[in-house]
Order: sequence, then C-alpha cells, then structure tokens
Amino acid sequence: MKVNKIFVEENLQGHESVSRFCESFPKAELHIIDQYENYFQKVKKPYLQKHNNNSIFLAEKRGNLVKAAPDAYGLSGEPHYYYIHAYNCMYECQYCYLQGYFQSPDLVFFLNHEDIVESIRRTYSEHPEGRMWFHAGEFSDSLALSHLSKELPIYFRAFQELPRAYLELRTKSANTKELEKLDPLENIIVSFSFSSHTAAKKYDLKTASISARIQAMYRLYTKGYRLALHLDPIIDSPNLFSDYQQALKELFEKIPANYFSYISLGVVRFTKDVFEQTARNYPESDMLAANFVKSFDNKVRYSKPLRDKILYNMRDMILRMGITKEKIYLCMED
Amino acid sequence: MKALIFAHRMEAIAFLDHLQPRSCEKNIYRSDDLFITYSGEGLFSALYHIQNLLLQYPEIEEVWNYGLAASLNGQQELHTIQSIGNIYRQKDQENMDFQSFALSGEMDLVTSIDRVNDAKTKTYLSRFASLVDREAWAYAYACQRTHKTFRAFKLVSDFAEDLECSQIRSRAEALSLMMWEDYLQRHSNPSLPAKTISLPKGFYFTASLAHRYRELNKKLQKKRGCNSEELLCSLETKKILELKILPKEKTKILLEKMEEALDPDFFTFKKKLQANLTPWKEQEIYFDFGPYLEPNEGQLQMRFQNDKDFLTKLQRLQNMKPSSIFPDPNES
Repeated sequence: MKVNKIFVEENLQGHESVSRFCESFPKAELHIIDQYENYFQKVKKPYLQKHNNNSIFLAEKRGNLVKAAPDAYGLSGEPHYYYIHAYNCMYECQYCYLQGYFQSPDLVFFLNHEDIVESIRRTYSEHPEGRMWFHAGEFSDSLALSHLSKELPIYFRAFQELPRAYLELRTKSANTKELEKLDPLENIIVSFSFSSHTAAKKYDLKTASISARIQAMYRLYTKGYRLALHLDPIIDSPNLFSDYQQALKELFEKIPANYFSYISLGVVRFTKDVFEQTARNYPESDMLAANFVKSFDNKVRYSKPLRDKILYNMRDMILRMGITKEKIYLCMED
Repeated sequence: MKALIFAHRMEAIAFLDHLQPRSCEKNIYRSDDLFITYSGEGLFSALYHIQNLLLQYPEIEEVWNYGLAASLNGQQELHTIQSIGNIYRQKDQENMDFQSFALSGEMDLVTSIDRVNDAKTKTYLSRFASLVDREAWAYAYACQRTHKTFRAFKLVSDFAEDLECSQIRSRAEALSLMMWEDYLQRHSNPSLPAKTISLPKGFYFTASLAHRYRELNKKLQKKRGCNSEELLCSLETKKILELKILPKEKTKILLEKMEEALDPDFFTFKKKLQANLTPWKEQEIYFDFGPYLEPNEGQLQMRFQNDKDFLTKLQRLQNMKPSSIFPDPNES
C-alpha cells in the first residue's frame, strides 16, 4: 500500500501507534491537524485513488462508538452490535460497499480503544441476560493492519471480563501475527471471508489468497482459536460449486469442518449507489455480467431463482462436508 | 475537435508561435483541428471564459488545460510537467468545496481562491493536494456540465509562498516551450477510443432496444468469454432472421434469447411458475409477482360471475398460500 500522507490529530502526537505508522510509511508526509472530521470526506475523492494515493488519519472516534448491527447480520435471535475502530480498508474488493459508503478511500484509524471498550461495557450492561455479539470489521478489515494499530490486547482484556459477550474479528487477511501473541478466548471468534481460489483472485484485489487464508486459519486453529467462515459474497460463475468445493475441501483437510463455530452464506448484493459505483470503478469486471434486479429490500441482487439455487446448493454442499445445519445462517437474505 | 486552454497568454506563447492559428475573437485562436485560448487568471475569469468558449463552439469535444502550478509540499521537481488526477477547490480560508473532479492523471491539484502568499494557507491546502493553481477547477466544472472530456497538465514553476511573480514572468517563454514539447508528445500518443458494439443487421432497434441489446451483448461476451460475432452465432440469429415476421418482432425474440442466456435459472423458474399458475388462471384467478418474481409482494386479481361464484373462489383461495405456487429452488 502506498501512503502519501499521514494525518495525526494534535492531541495524539505522543501516542505509540503514531510512530509505528510513521516508521512503516517513511515516505509519507506528516500533517498535524486539529480534528480528522475537518479533512476526511471534506472533499470528494475517487475510490480508485487507493491504487496510488492513500492518506491515513490517526484520530479519536467521537460520537457513537458502538452501533446496533442491521437485521440478519449474524446468528439470529441474539443482539448484534459492531464497534468502529477504523474507516476504510487497504484491500480493494470489487463488490465492497465501502466504495459507495464513504466519499473518500482514505483510511482512518481510531486510537481511543479504551473509550470504545467502555462503550462496549455500557452496551453489555444494558443486556443483563443472554449472549450478545460485537463485531469488528464493519468498516475495515479487523486484522489487516493490526500489527501497526496493535489494539487487539485491549479488546482481549475487555472481553475476558464480559463472558456473555462474543467478539467477532472479521478478516480477509492472513495477518495473524498479533493474534498469535495472545491467548485465545472462548468468546472471541476469528471469522474469515472465504471463497474459491478463482473468485478471490478475480474480485478480492490485494487481499490474502485463499491458500494464505487457509494457512492463517490453520495457525489459529493449532493455537486454539475459535474460527468461523463467511462464504459471502458468493458471485456466480460457470464452475461455482466445484470451485468452492475444491477450496473448502482444502480447508477441511486441515481443519475439521465442524470445528468452525458458524458459517454464513450470502449472495452478492449492492445498494443502488454502490452498484453504480462498482460499474464505474470496474466496468470490465465479469462480476457485472449477470441479470441484476431490484430485490425485496431495494438492494440490487441476482434474480430470486438464481439466488435460491446458489444458496440451496451451497448449503447442501457444506452440510455434506460435515457442517451441522444449526451452524449455517444466511446473511442479509429474506 | 480539441481546445487548449491556458490562464495567461504567455503560457500559450509557444503554441501560438508554432501553430500560427488565426484569431477568431478576443483571446480565441483556431487552427485546422484545434482551438487555443486563454482565460485570464482566477476562478471567475476561467469559468466565464470557458463557458463562453464551449457555448460558442459546440464542436469542441475535448479540452486540455496547460499551465503553471506551484508545489505545496516541495516534493515535485521544478519544471516537470504533471498530469493531474483530482482537482479540488478552496472555498474560503478554512473550507474546501466538496465537489471535486477526477481526471486520468496522477497528481492532485487544488484551485485556490487567491495567490498563496502565506504559510498558513499553504499548509492548509497541502493537506488536500500537492499542487496549487487558480483556474483548473473552473475548467473541469464547465467541461463536466457540458459533457466534454477534460485533462490538465501542470508545469511545476515554483514553490508556493516562495517566489515573486516577476521571476516567473521572466522565464515565461521557456516554460511555454516546455509545455509545447510535452503537448506534442502526448498529442502523438492518443488513447484509443472505446469500441461501440455494432447492431446486427436485419433487426429493428429503437434507441432503448439498442441500449438493451448492447448491455446484454456486453454482459454475455464477458460471461462466455467470446466476441460479439461468436455470441450472435451461438444465439442462432440466422434462424431468427429467417422467420417471416416483422424486424421488430425478430428483435424481441433475440433480446429474450439473450436474457435467457444471461440468467437461465430465472427463465426456467418463470416457466415452472407459469405452469403452476395455469390451474388458477383457468378459474379466472390471476396472480402477479412482478417482473423480478420477488416473493414478498404480489397482486391478486379475480373475475367472478355472481355471489355464488365469488364465494366459491374465495373458499379456494382461503386454503392456499401464495408461496406454495413458487417452484422449489432446488428444482429450478
């Protein structure tokens, strides 16, 4: 990743993360600013600027630090929340909703993790009974730059004291270095977005390859971490099922299928704005060579019969590979 | 037709000397296939001038801006020419205009409200871009509004805040010559225009049918990894052309075939659904699930002859679930 500028809020100048980021990107210009909000998204920046012109903001998150997750986000029947530790991602997935969500691809890393943890604790105390979930990675990959942001120990310490709360760290990276330094916890689950080798190569630009993700999962498995899989978004292709079967077979040869705590399935979908952005950013992508329609929730999706066929067959395939049906859920599907 | 726009006459001087264009009107010159013009300094002059130009000469399809820009971060080599990527605009001392323009180049530029003479402004602007000028945003704005292609190339003439204008003025001719040489190089290597998918002969296309055809053709080429000719062959267009029907009807068949090729599951499902609906249709009970067959909404229409017929049909409907009409996904 090429970083041209690093912006640091003035009250964070002495923060240890700042020097780590600056040392990692020595060619980047350093700008000391008052508040990131005065610069981030103040001008419209094209998404594909991330190819060669990235800025990083190191800032304090103000306002809501924990938010309720949308319906059908995770295993149903339990409250789901996500916390915001960063905006934007160093990866470039062609279907990513961030390309239409923010008006800038600049990366923002929030350094006030203690405040976020405090907010998690408050939310926890609002639900005195039953399990609840917190997700990291709604607006950014949870692990990709964790060796620079180094926030994981703070969350591990916090969740040790919140036994009913589950933390999901969602990633497409193979950067497990920081996790390997920590002892796994029963209530922290590392979930990997997973697809076929072909699909990841074509659509998950700059992310870890599927083989690297399998290796990363294996490292965490041997360390005793709980793992989950997101087969989401699934993009239709001529050899869709055999390609997925092959990748899953490679994975389950290393880690028993039923070791995974849950598997989500979701077919590619876009809001109207993101769909238009995607078509502008990746006009030659074969991902767009399909019959997209306006679906039940106004999102742009494949036609209902194709969605059903994909989900039915994918579910059937993973059931046959040894996953129990209670562990499978459909993400953002009716 | 292309137009080259500058802020100052002295920036354009080498272009005028080499091309010897004829003067059309004040500050606008024309050679065989090129307009050369200069707008004056500052956003308002630039906007006023380019809007006039594009209004008066609608044959202009593409505008290139050559001009001088100052470096805000001191990281560019002086006298290099940078192809501009994003153009931002300073709105006032502490605010930026949200609207920006993304061009095909690499270097970001901010158009300032005034000459940058102080360190505070320089620092503020450098957080958004590496170069500063006074006009490019206005040119980009006018071009976007009139759907013209716009590109900008800036010669790094100085470091913002450092230099007196008189020093640049004394080098103006030499700087203009550098831009002329850059133009010659870029002009001789034009990028290839996008290829349009041609419409097949023997069919009738309205503008919207042509658009639909091109969209489907493009998607199917990508999906099947073939070219347009191979695609039309696989769709057996020859057989469609042999049919003794109107060209417009042939087009309808062709488009349906293309839609089916793109999403065969949808068509299989639709056929099965239609078969499931037939017994209801025969009883004059009509279900409509919309064009995309999303199951969460539908319409029901029923014809009846009298009270008895009405009640009988209602009773039949009472025991059915609309979702039961939908074919099983694993069979589709």
